[in-house]
Amino acid sequence: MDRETAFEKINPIICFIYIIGAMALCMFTMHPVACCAVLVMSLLLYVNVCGRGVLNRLPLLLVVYSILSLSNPLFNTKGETILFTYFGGREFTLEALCYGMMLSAMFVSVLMLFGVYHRLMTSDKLMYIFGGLAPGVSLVLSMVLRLVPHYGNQIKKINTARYIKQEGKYSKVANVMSAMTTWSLESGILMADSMKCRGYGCGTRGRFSIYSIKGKDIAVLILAVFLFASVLICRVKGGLDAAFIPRIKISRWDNIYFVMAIWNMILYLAIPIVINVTEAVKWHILRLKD
Amino acid sequence: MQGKSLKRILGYTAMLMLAVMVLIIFWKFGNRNHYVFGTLLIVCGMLPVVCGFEKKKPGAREIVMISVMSALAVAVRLAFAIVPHFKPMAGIIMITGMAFGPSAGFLSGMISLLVSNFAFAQGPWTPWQMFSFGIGGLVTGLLYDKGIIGENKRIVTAIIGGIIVVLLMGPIMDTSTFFLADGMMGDVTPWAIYLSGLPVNAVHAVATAGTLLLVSPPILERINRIKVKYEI
Repeated sequence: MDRETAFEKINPIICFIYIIGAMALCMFTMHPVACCAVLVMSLLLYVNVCGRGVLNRLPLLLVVYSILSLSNPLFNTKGETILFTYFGGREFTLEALCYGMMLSAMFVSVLMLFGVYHRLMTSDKLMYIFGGLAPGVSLVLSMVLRLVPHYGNQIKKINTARYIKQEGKYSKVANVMSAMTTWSLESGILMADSMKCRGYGCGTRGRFSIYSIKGKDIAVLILAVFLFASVLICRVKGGLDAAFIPRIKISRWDNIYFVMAIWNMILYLAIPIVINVTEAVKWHILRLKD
Repeated sequence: MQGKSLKRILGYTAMLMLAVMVLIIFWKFGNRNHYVFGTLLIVCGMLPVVCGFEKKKPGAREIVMISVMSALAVAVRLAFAIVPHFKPMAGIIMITGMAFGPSAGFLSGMISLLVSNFAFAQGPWTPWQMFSFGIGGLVTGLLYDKGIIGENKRIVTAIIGGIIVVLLMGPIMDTSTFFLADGMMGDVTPWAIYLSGLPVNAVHAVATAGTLLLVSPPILERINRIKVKYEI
């Protein structure tokens, strides 16, 4: 939460569509080159959007990756090239290993994109998107988001008040909870009545939002849809075909659809990075002028 | 008003079409992405309750009561995260289902999971957890309406709450693990995943039963008092 990047200022609806599209792209292909490209690009995106701090999580992701890819051949023994046998004859095949590596690359990319999602789609943005479709549920959501810290403070107060009392861990929890319930229900009724007094439920309801759709947002959306569609077309034309079992069979560089698909995938995942970096460079130049 | 409802219908139609489109795209081009299917189905499963809630035009008190109970569940979970094996969320959501009806239980389960995942971590498992806790609230509400569980049967309530966690909510969450692991491990059988999830679910069930046993009578009593006092 240190700084706001330029991509965070983009309209939440477009941001949401973009991230869902990125996750879908990750899952589209098992082609080694495409998987590597997606993995590298989503790592760059992750670092670019969430800051350098996430590099600390890299070892964990690496561990997840290795465990997942190494464990696949243990469950799956199909494949032609046998690397070695264990447990008296169970085979560890190259094909299954490659398959596992691709799958775990996909999984790790999606995990990193969820990190990006967590950073970009904060609760207020989620509410902006669904506030129009489901106003009641969004209202509940916004109230819960406000009440949770409020209740947390109240629990602290109750704890302080009971500090001197000698009681077991669980009976203390039960006592605090029952005190909290009474208090929160009473204050809830007050809140509901005050909502009613201020005219909740009379007439049509508007909603507050600080977001609008600007030219830049539309441009990002068009670019994203175009790139996504082109990857999809290349996929249909067989540009990203990859089969591992029983034999490794993948499309080559001489296939024009393959080159296009890889290139467009990289471009798609690079959109936020480009926006952020351009903004940072602009800012840097402006500051140099002073 | 007419224009607004038309707009809403159009919105729902667009959403449905989008869902169908995504399904078709993944059916054709995704490779073994059963996870996406499962998640879309789960989201579709949540829609009826949400739509019903919106259509009913809920009053201020109903909305506030659902929010209060969900916020309570999350706040207590966050405040006592250090107490070992204390998992009150499922218990409080079940109490909500019992006190305010099945659909309120479903909604509060959904919302409190979503909110508490803002504090912990959102991930591929979020929709599944939301659905599973929602179902927990819903089923408890239905059983309460049928008179099978209630304030004066606290032991039965606790046992049934535990059973719901082990047989219903746990397996739904494990299904998300299954879908995630499905591609990873080749021919993994669902039983292996469900069995490996059993210990975690058992601990969760015992914790929930404990919560129900300890706090459900006082909380229900307080809710009933409020209901009588303010004529809800």
